[in-house]
Amino acid sequence: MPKANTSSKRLGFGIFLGSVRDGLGESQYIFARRLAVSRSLIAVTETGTPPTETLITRLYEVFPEREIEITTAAQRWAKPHARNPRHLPRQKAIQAKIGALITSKKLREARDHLTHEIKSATNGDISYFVWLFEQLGRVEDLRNDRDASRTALAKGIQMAWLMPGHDNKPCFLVERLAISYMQDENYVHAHKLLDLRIANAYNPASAWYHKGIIHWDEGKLSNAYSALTTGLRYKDRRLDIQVARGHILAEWNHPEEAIADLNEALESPQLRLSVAVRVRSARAYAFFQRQKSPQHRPGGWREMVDLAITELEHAEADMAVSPWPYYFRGLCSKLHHDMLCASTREPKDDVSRAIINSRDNMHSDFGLAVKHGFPYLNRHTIRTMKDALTSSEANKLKLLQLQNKNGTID
Amino acid sequence: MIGPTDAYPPERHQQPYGRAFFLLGLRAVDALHDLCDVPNRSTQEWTQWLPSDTCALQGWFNIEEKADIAFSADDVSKKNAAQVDDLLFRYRVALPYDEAERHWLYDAYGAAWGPDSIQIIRNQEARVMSSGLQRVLLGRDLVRRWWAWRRETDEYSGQGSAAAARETLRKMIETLSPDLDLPEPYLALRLSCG
Repeated sequence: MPKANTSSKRLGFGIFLGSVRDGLGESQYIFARRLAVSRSLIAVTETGTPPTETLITRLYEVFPEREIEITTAAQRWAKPHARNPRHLPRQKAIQAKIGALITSKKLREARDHLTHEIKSATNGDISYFVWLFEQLGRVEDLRNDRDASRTALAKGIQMAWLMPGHDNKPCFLVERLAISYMQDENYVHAHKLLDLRIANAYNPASAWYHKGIIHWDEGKLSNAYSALTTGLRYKDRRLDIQVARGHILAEWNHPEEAIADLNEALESPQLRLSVAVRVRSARAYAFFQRQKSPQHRPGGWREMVDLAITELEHAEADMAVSPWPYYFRGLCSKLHHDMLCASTREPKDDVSRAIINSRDNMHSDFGLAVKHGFPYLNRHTIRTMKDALTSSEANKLKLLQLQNKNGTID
Repeated sequence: MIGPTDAYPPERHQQPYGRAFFLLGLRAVDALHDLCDVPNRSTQEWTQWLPSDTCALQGWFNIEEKADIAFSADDVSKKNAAQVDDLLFRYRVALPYDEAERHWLYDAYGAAWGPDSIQIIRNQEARVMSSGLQRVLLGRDLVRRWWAWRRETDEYSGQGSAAAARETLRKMIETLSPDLDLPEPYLALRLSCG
């Protein structure tokens, strides 16, 4: 067949995508699952169709370490939205341009465009201004200027209330504002906003979900559980709520209830791969906890531990850049460590070694969880890891003192 | 196990013929997927050129490209090369083009590569030498033939050539990348054919 090497002729995002896939040794189908997009999106992009914003966003999320390459490829070959802007209405052209700037992380330019447009646009409809403020809030948040982000969101909310028949938009922005307050640990403001939203909404499922997420960030697991359970009474966001509640129940040492929620979530065809990895990891931890339950102790505890380990290995193989398999494996090691420490006052050599091993495993897994943690880990999970590491250090000191006293140290 | 500094999973796949041939097998998985993902005859889509037709066409070019790279690798033994060459030969003769057409289309697609590639090829014509004769190739005819061949209709009805291409791709996958899963549409098609 032809000696000509087409790769020298074909240049584009599809070629970049193909090379990423080759590096992983994955078919389009498996790669699409990794990115939680459809296989046809990968296949079509590889035929030279410019990448969609969703695809670029997913690539950023899944391959954060290749951010520069993705940005470069996206800038060179992304959808030519504004190639011929005179054929588009002005607003659409500006929206496309700002969207492209945000996707390619040119945040300062995006902010300048947005502020200029807010000042200069004269005949846009209200929804256009709401969009501008919403995007400005997003850009300022990405630039870590949360005060500016909240100011923009608040203006967007004020305008959104003026839009007739569009109750969803202000509600969505209120929830965004609440999350922004949560990020700065201003929980009182965050809850006040959501309470107001719940009082005025026909379907407050999403607000209850966010209340649950905020309580969780605070470390108030029982309140988080209550809020999420209330949210389940409504039809919206059932899957998100179930995933969050199952995760919380697993961390709250309620393995049976956690497994029930997580099993149901896993049955959903809408579950994205990254969320499925989280769900399977949380379920593995719930399996691991079952070894303590009397009904599983007689013959099945070993089976539960093996099941948890296998499940975590599968989750890690599915998505190595997710923090959750490492986080929950670290929690399993902590549980194991605590059980060993509690089992005897003066541990023998082999038990001492097992305690030290579980502590070391916990250290290394939490290290990996932190490495892949942004933006998934919340304050509660970070506190949990910190507390676990501190308590294991204290136990290690006690152990060393004991071993010194007994003269058994190596 | 993933190391803390390793962003990618380690190679987990068997590569009996080496990395370059493994990638050829990998592309064969994608090509086989698109060859089997054909619209239902009773739907409107049956009559149209679909994105999956373009993907299937690209699947063939990807195989050619990876084959070219794999054969130029230093570490390929003569015996292995001959075996893969035989598979490629069987695959190519099942395609709806002769050698001159394949060469021309491969080059034309490379030059036109992008969202409008098929439209560009449709509008092209070329004079080539084939079987000792001068002849004219019409891009629109080659595109139509790919459409008909993939659907096993018109002159390709009852010829079994698309099925032969699919089976050769399966053999290629099983030889070069033995632990990659065969695509679901292929398994479904095989099940439906008994």
